[in-house]
This record gives sequence, structure tokens and C-alpha cells, in this order.
Amino acid sequence: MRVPDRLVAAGGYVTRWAADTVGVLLAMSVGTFALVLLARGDPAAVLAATRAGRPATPEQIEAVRVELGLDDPAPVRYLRWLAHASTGDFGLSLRTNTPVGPEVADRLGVTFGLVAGSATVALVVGLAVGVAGAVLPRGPLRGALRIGALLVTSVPAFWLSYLLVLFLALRLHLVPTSGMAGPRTWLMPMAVLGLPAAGVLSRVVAVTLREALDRPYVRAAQARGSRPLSIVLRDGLPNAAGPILSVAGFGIGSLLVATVVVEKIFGWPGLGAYFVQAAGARDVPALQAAVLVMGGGFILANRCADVLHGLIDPRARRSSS
Amino acid sequence: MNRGRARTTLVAVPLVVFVVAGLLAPLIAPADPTANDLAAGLASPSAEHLLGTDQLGRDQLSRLLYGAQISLAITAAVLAISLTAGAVVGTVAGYAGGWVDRVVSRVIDVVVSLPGMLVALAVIGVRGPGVDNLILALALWSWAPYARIARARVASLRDSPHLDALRLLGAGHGRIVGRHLLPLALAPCLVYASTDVGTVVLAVATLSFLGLGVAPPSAEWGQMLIEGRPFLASAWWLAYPPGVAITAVVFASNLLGERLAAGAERPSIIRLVRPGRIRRATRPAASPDPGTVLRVRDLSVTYPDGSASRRVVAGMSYEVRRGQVLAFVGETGSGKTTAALAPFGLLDPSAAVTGSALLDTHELIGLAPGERRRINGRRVGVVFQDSGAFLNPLRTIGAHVDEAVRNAGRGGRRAATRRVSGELLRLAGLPDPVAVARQFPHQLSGGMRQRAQIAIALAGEPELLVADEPTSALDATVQAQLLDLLARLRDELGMAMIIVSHDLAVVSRVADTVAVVYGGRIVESGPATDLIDEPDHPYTRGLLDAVPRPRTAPGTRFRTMPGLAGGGPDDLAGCGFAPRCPLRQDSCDHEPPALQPLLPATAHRSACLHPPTREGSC
Amino acid sequence: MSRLRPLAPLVASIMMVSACTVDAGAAGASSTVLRIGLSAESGALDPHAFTGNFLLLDAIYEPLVTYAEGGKLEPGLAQSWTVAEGGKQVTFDLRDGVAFSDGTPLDSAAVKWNFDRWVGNKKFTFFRASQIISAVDTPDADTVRLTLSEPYEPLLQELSIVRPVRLLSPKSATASGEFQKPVGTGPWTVESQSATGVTLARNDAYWGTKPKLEKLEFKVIPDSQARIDALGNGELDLIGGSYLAPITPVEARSLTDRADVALLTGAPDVSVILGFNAKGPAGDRAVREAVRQAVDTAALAKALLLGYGEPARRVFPPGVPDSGTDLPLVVDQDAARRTLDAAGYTPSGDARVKDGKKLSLKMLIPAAPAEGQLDPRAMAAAIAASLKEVGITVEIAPVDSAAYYDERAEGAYDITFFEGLGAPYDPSGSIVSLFTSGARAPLWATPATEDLVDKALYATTPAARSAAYQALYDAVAADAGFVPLVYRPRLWAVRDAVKGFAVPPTDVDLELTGVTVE
Repeated sequence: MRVPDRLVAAGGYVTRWAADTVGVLLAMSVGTFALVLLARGDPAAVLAATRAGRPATPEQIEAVRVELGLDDPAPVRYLRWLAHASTGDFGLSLRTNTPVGPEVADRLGVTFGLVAGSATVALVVGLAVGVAGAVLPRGPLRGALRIGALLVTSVPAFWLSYLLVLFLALRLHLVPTSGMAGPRTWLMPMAVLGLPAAGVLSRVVAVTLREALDRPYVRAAQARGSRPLSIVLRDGLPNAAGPILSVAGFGIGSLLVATVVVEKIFGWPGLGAYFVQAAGARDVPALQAAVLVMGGGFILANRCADVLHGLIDPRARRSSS
Repeated sequence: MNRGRARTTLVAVPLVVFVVAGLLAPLIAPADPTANDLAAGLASPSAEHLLGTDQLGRDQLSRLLYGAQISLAITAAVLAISLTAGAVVGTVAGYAGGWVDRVVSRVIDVVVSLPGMLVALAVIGVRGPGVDNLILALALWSWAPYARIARARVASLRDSPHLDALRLLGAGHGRIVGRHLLPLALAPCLVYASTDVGTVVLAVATLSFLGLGVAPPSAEWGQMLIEGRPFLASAWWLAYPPGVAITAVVFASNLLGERLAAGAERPSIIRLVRPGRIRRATRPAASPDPGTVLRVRDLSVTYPDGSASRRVVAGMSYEVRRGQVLAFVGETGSGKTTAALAPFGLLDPSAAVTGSALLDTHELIGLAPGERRRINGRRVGVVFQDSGAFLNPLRTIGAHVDEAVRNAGRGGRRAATRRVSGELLRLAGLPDPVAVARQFPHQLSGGMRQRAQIAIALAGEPELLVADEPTSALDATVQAQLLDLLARLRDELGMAMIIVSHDLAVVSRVADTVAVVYGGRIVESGPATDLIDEPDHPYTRGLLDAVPRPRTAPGTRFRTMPGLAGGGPDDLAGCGFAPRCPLRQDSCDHEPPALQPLLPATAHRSACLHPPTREGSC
Repeated sequence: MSRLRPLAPLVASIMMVSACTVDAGAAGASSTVLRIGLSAESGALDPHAFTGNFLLLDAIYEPLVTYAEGGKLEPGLAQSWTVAEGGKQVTFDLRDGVAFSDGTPLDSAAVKWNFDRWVGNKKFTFFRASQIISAVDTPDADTVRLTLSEPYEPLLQELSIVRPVRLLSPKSATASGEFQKPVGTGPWTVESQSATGVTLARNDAYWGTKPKLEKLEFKVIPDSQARIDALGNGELDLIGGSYLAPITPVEARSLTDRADVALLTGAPDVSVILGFNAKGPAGDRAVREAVRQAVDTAALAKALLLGYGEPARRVFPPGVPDSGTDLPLVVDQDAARRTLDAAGYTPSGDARVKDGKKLSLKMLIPAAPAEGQLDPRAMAAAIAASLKEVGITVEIAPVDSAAYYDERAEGAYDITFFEGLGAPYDPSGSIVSLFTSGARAPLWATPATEDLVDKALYATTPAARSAAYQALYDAVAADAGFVPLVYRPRLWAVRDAVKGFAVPPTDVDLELTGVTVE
């Protein structure tokens, strides 16, 4: 009897959060569409100018507008877009006149690699430094880790990039200045994205883990002779998992947005760069797809953190179902 | 505490400099930050231009100071808007409850789950760059965390008696929210705001990077960094100062936020290093009696107390023999639990333990963590007071017991470990071990949890079982069952046992020896029967008077002791119990009385200068 | 070597250190590869679409007529041409023995197939030639005859631009005309294309002078400082140009102290001009006059262009045909103050007031520099500071580039920047967009300027044309209708290992035939 119950509860949970996610994404798509509508700047004018290679005449702009169906009322355009999008067809990019879906998919691959790499850096470094911060005695080493963690979260990402390029690439010739070819080109983008996230995570880990390690069950574990590593892994981290996971989920989700900066500086053809280009050209189909994918990824990362927490903590599971 | 406050102040220095520079920029800046001097472009620092000039010959120091002004203005505006809006929305939602709360919470969830920078990008994209649009773009999403914090704070107070009282007194909703709840909700919001300063400053800089920042010719730090980029290698005064300024402000904000949020920090219980100075008392020359399992001599425990330190256990000596039960009895805070757990390194890591504790022939005081693991869980088992807290809420009972079995070296393959665990659970009186093993601590009753703890403690087939208040907070029937279980286990397994309790009557059922603890010292000890039948120390008598005894006729009024439980062993020069003692005499205030045998060669000892029995008989 | 290449990543992953030497060795040995910066990912390389990078299209596809230094037209795929019937008919004699790189011969049928893809097509209305050409005939395999609906003097020049007039192999499109793969007659063929770059290989069957290099590797680096860094770090050999991998003077300066990099400048083809909106405070000629007198363009050029560009004295830089003579522009802040005083703008604190109204100009600028253009923020800040000194308040309004062109078209400014279109469109293209009211965002359009534009466009003799252009410039200058600020520098940076590179005549060309890498 227990298993079906759980399955039903889990099914309900999944359905509900799927509905939630779709709701948020819909709201985001309406928001994006409305914002572009309100925004100054006319996609037809941008496109006409691109075609002509110079500022376009009003007639040329009107012709482009008719050609792209931009002369229909806004609600009609949105619903048309929604109808297509719900079947997986995100339309043609106004800027490049190529299907948005495959373009976004290509770029998502790049961004996903970047985010996955940076997230790995963030998780590994953040957990290691955070655990050290929780179990090390007060002293210079722990102080240095803490200051270092707070410092990397305090430097503007783009300035950190400039400095890394200057010192690692131009002075020391350790890595190429930009690009996405070969393992060494991954180091700087991953560091710029991953280290600040690692800094934030390490502080949360340090504080919550220390709190968790201060709980009576840890003394009980010591009384039964458990090793420190086992205590940290079995008793400390799982009990600190709530805040750690929500910060990690949020942090990894935010990496998606932070790629806007890093991809620009290091020349990675990812989703962040695509978003900026699409926004600049008021390329609604491309913008919509980019926002949905980035927003969706952000939400997904947060939801994954929730689900993971539910798996670790039976009480969280109970309260969320 | 003072040192902590001084450090907090130190941490806030960059923020103060930021605020002062921002406010006073027009007064302290040496030059107009927008005035060109095209002929004096890219000048290196000099007396005239302390931080050099930029490409257009503008004074870099002045631009830096005016940059602080802009950042400060934006940060202050964003925080003011989002903090106010968030606190009000959250407070109203938390107070109103019902559908209002549900709707608002949902909106907060949505806003929090939106990537903030994306929102800012979109808003500025629509409304164009500029200070007011920047503030709008940032405030639009930064209010949500405040609302969430305020809502949580107020929701926890919604049903408090204080609010009920206010409502009964006829206070209107507006008054309750505005005068009583909002101030309460603001405090945690302000702590969060200290970190948010950094977030806003960084966000403004990043938006500048994306070309969405403040309009020229205003100086903005992020924009200055971007303009300084081509000069990273050639003109450091353009490329570094704004970056250092941003980093310092954000860093200070993060550090301050962390300090305010974390409060006083306690050292971690997990120690990776060997404890520092260890002072052992001289080891007793005589080889211990072979029947003695644990022999403690001159045990003292000291905790740091601010800059001073404070003893909580002073010079205690006790021993427990095979098959015997020693009971520590005393009020809360008397030091009885500390005295029982100190030999096994189970105190807070800041505790300094001195003296000697021999388990068999092994000295326990000053053992390294690794050496302790050969004792704890194998030769010594511990049962803690039940509050559910001593079991990891995220692990099943089975996982706990399995781990204890493995730690004790009795595990093997998974199935073998499980079998041992099952036996232990059954031994502890849990009839359906398989079902219990699958349960989480919160799914069990208090009595069952205690039995589970006993099973865990027995995993190493220990010589000594230490039980700290094993039965308090349980109802009388369960209490009796557990005590019977402990007594049975002692008999079956031949263990020595230390039971710590505040209830003399309870332990008298099972204890062979009783030690009464008051103010960090043993004030009376001896065989249980002697001590209960002929208590010597006024405190022991008080304890006995405070419990209903089976032999007392119904309706007897018990004398409860006046005053509160005492302080530490060193608080008074004389007898620690003197302030509450009905028989106190002047001589009691001079020095602590020694624990002395009542009669030569008896085990019954007492530390009282003027014991009522003897006084009376004199 | 090529058979070993698949092993390279393996080797690299085993030995991190050897990875460096492998890289360096490859670069040193194969001096036949030139690595070039590219500012943006190139879209589909279809000469008849609007997506491909100009310079890549230029390397792959060729026109009938080519544009040479100084605006001279030279034979391209057409060996010669004749203009007949009062300018209403142009006959091209195609070069013999030319084939597309897929082997398809370049004959009149292929040319007609190409013209049919855009002549009369609605998408190309902006392109005058697409509407003027009324028929494309092929009298024989070697001859193509265009018939025009009216005489159109700039036709030949328009046929030299990149898109849509360059010639694609008819076999590289589907039967329904859908573009498939980039195949042209040019010196280079596409070897690979991805989001991170494009590799071109030498067309060994090229009819003209074959390039000495074997390969061109275009690497996409969107950030201009990152391009400078990559060049400085030896990851690129060549950057620069407006449409390839633009660099700014400030960024280029950091390369000057390097011995292994040469900075080259080409003759500028664009003036950056400050324009006025006549509906508003700048409608007063005195205000425009004062602005022109107050802005010290020489100091501006020195501070912003760091010696890589000159202050502007003309609507088109001297290298552009019919750019006329230098205009009489005198910088004198005292004169500016006197002009304003005389017109009734009385000083009041830092500012000036007339009829109780503060003299304040809204300066509309793009928030971020458009590709290859100067940083508008620094320029705007410098101009604002200059104008402040004579009492004109300037409020700078940055908007993103999409909105910028709209707002400029709507006249939501008092002063803003204008630029010409650059070679090969100028001067005819720009005078229409700058000086006629039918243009979307004209710089200065009055009945007089429109008249002069018509005269210049439809002049039948070179002398009459020059005179009309000069009269146009003088008329606008007399109105104080603009302030030419600076000539936009055309900067290129190249590693010393690259030999034989010269800055191309226009930024839509990339001449690499004689280039080698040591």
C-alpha cells in the first residue's frame, strides 16, 4: 500500500510543478513579448537596414514589415507564435532568416557545456572550501579561505575576465586569450563563472554545515565511534542540504544568465551572446526562444535542487506533498 | 564581545568610506568630473591629479568620488524601494493569511524564480538606460526576497498571544501591522539589505558592461572599468582604482552581511587537529582494582567565558565497577552530565578537561580523535537524553544501528551487519526490528527512540554504558520499562553503567552507587541504599524531600528547596550550596568542604561542615 | 600529416606540455595559413541573402565590375562593357575560360540566373538597380545585356558592391532556388564553417592571380579588445577593417609598443558628422553656428583618435570621389560666446538663457558603439564638455542601437551623430540619405539641398557633377547645418610575420593575393 501512495504523491508533485513551470514560462513569454512591443526600436527597421547595409527608407521598412507579418495586431502575433511554439516550432529568426529552434539548440550546446563546467567548478571548489571552513579550527588558513571566497564573489565578472586575460594569457601565456578550441580555452570562462558561484556556495556550506555539525546527533555519532569524514558526509551535509541545495540551484541557474558576460568577452557562440544579439535586433522569435530556454534552465536548476532535497530529507518530501 | 564588535566596525569601514565619499563628493572632489582637458589626457598620477587623468583629461580621482555618489544614490534608492515594498507586502501577507497570503506568496515565488539580471536587461532595453530606469529595473525584482523574509517572520507571529491581546484591546489591523509587526519584520530585512548593497553595486556595474548603465558624462565605476580596459597594461590608474572600489564595497557588504546574519560562532565539534594543551593529573600509583571499569580522579572541566574561563566541574573523582550502576544525580546545570561525558571527549570542543580517567588501564583524558574511536562505540556505549535530537533525522534507525555495528568492527557484508542490527534492536526490546529499522526517527515514539539508542550503544558490546537522562521526558510507565531494560542488560551483559538523572527516586531503582552533584562538585556519594535511607548532605535531603517517596503518607507536603540551582564550583569561596542551605553557618563561606567518609572505612561520603544528622546528634 | 591529425587531440590530452609545442610547430611550419579575426559569426554565405559577412562573400564571389582605389571601376568577371542608347543599355563581355569552383562554366546563362534571383525581387527594393533593370538578355554565351527602364549613372558602381550582385554557381541552389552551398569563382573556396569561424582554402583553379597562401582561418572574436589581445598573443595574424574585425584607436594604441605587430591605416572613407534637428533649439542658426565654433575638432581627433585620424573638414574624406574642397570651419570658443550673446542667449551661471528658457540640447547617442564605429560615449562626453564651456548645456541620452535609428528618424534629438555609408556607396548613396527629406533620418534637408542632390545625381558630365556636389556642401555649411567632426580612421593591425599585406582600397575588400606568412 505504501508504494502506490508514494507514487501517487510523487505523480501529483511532478504534475503540479510541471504546471507551475509552464505557468512561469508562459508568463515570461508574455512578458518578453510585451517588453519588445513596448520597447523603442522596430525589428522591421533593423532588418531593412541590415539588408540594405545602410539606413533604410520608410518604404523599405514597410515592405519588410508586411513580408514578416509584423503588421498584424500584437495579440494575433503572440497567439500565432504560441500556437507554433507549442508544437516545437519557434519560427524564423528575423535577423538571420533561419529557423530559431536549431540555432538555439546549437548555442544551448555551447552554453550548456560552459554552465556544466562552471557548475562543476562551483560545486567541487565550493563544497571543498565550505567543508574546510566548517571543520577547520579558527585560524589563518580558515580565515584565508573565507576572505578568498568572499573576495571572488565581490569582483565584477567582467573585470575578473580582463585581469585573467592580462595575467594568464598575455603575461604568462598559459592559456589562449579567447575562443573555444581545446581544453585550455575552457579554463578562464569556467573560472570566471565558476569561482564566484563557488565562493557563495562555500560560505553557505561553511555556515550551515557548522550549524549541522553542532547538532546533538553529531555528538551521538562520535559516541558510537564514527569517523569525521563519515560524520560530515552522512550527518553534516545531508542536514545542511536544504540551504546548500537551494543556493546551489539558484547559483547554477544564475550561471545561465551570467554567460551573457562571459560569452561576450571570450567569444563563445552561446545562448548568452545570442540573447544579446536578438535583443539588439528586436528579433522576437529568437529572443522568445532564448528567454524561454534560459528561464526554463534557471527554473529547472532550482526545481532539481528541490527534488534532490526531497530525496535527501524525508521531512521535506512530506511537507511538499 | 568587544573584539567582535570592533571587527564588525572594521569590516564596515569600506562601506562608511563609500557612503561618505558618495555624500561629500561635490565637496571633496578636487575637480569637476566632467570637465575636459583634451591637452592633458592620459596623464599619470601627479600632485595635481592624484589618480591621473583619463583619455579626455578628466581628473580620475574626482570621477571615482562622483562614481561613489552615483552608485550610492542608486543603491540607496533600490534598497529603500525594495525594502519598503518587500517588508510591507510581506508583513501584510503574513498577517492577513488565507488567500491573500497564498496569492502574494505565489507572486513572490514567481519573482524570486525569475533570473533577476534578465529582468533588468529587459526593462532597461524597453525604457532605455538612465539612473531612474536602472533603479526601476533593479527594484522590480529585488523586493521579493524582502517580502519573503518579512512574510516568514510575521506568519510565525500571527497566532501569538501578544497579537490576540492586541486584537482584544481593539487595535485595528492597520495599527497592528504598522506599529507592531512591521518593526519586527524590518530587523531581518535590514540584515539581508547589508548583503544586498553588494548585489546592487555589482548589478549596476554589470549593466554598464552590457551598455545599459548610466548616461555619460556621469562617472560610474563599472563604466570607468570598461573604459579603462584598453589601458590595463599601460595606465593602471584608469584600469584598477574603479575595480578596487567596486570590489571593496561589495566585499565589505558581503562580510558585514555574513557577520550580522551568523552571530557568535561556536567552534565545530568535529576536530581535525589534536586538542592543544593537555594537563593530566599525576597517575595514581596503585594499580587499579581489577573489577573497576572506569576510575576517574580529580576531573575538572573548564569552558572559556569571554576572555576569562569558567570551571563547571571541579576536582571530581568517581569510579564504577563491573556489573554495577553508578548514578549521578543533581539539578539541571549542576555539571552531572558534563562529569559523566567528559572522559569520552563528548563535550563541546571548547571545553578543557583535566584530571585522569582510566578505562581499565587506558588513560582517556587527552586522547586524539583517532584513538577515541577505538574506545567510543566499542568499549563504551552512550545513550543520550531523548529529544529526538540525538538521532540524525535524515537516516533510518537501521542506518544508525548498522553504522554503529560497522564502527564496532562487528559488521561484515550488508546482510551480516543487518542481522547484528536486528539482534541489537530486539535486545533493546523492540519486537519488530525489521519494521523499526526502516523507520525514520520522527516516526517513532520517544520510548522507542530511546530503545533504538540503547541498541546503538550496545553495538560494540561495551564494558561501560553511559546513559544521560535516559528516561526524562517520558511518561512514567515507559520510564519504568526502560529502567527495567537497563537493569536487565546490566545483569545479562555484565556491563558497568553510569546513569545521569535529575530524579533520585528514579535512579534509586537501579543504582548501586549514587553520587549527588551540586555546583560542579560531588557533595555526597555512597551506596544507593545508605544514601537514600540516611542522607547526610542538606542538598541530598532537599532532593529527597522534593520527590514523592513511596513510603510517605498521601497528602504530605513536600518541602521544595528555596532558590535556584547554583552556579559553578568557583563562584563562591565556600560551600556552593550555602546560599540555599537552611543550616548555613558562617564557617560555610570560607572554603569548600571536602568530600569525606562519614565513618572511617565506609563508602558513604559527604561534603558538609555541618550535616544535619551529625549536628543533631552532637 | 593529415592522416596523423585525428591523433592530435589524443596526444594533447596525454601531454599537456606537448600541446603547446604542437600548436607552435604547426603555426611555424605551415606558413601558408593566415589567421584572421572576425567580429561576428558569418551567416549563410549566400550572395543573394543578407546574412553573409561582406569580406567572406568578397573572397568567394566576384562581381562583373570591380571597384578600385579612388572609385575607379575596373573589369571583373566582365572583360569589358559598353553603355548604349543614352545610358539605357549596358552590354558586358564576359571573361573567357572562367569557371565556378564546382566546375560550372561562367557563361551568360549563369549570369542571367544570378540576376534573375534579385532583379525585380521585392526584398531588394532598397537596391535601385533591382528596379531599374527591366530585362536581362543573353545574345550569346559570352555576352550579357542589361536593359534599363531609365538611364542610371551609378549602375556600374552598384554592380561592383558585394550583395546581391556577386555571382553564385547555378548548381549550388536547388531547383526551387534555395541556396545550398557557397560556390563562386573567386580565389577562395569554403572549407568549413561553424559558429566559431570559417576556413577558406585556395581555389587552385582560380582564373586570376592565385593567392600564395593556402588557407585563411577566420576566427570569430566578438569583443574588439579580445581581438587585440589575440593578435598580441600570437593567436591571430590580422585584424582590422570596418566589417572584418574592427579595432578602435584606443585599443590599437596598446599594440604600438610591440615590435612584432604593425599598425596600418587606410585612407578614410567616412566622416563622423554632428547633425542638428531644426525643430527645436538647434533651429536657431546662431546655436548651430556656436556649436560649430565651440567644438575643437582637432583636439577631439587628437584625444580620441590618438593620431590615427584627422579632424574632418569635408562631408566625405578627401579620398572619396567628388568630396570637394575643405570647408571653412574655424574653431573659436570666444566667437561662439559672441555668437550666442548676439543672438540673445544671456549667460546665467554655467548655462545661457533666452526668453526665460535655458539653452539645453539633447544629444542622442547609441549606448554602445556600432560595429566598427568610434565609441559614441567618449565623443559625446567630450563634445558636451566643450559646449558647456560656452554655456550650452548638453543632456546626453544613450539608447540601444535598435532604438537609436528609430529615435533619430523620429527626430527625438537636438544634436546627434551622422556618418556616410562609406565606399563604395559614396558619394551618391550618402547624399540621398543625408540631404533629402525622403530619407529616413536626413542630416540636413532643405528644398535647396534636395535640388542640389538631384543636380549632383543626374549630372551628365563629371565637371557638372563635381560642381553640384561642391555647391551642396557649401549650401549646408552656409546653413551651419552640420559640424564635420573627424574622419573615421581605417585601422588594421598585422603581425610582422605576415608579408605583403596592404590596407585594401575599401573595407569591403580584402586583398590577400600576394600575402605570405613567414
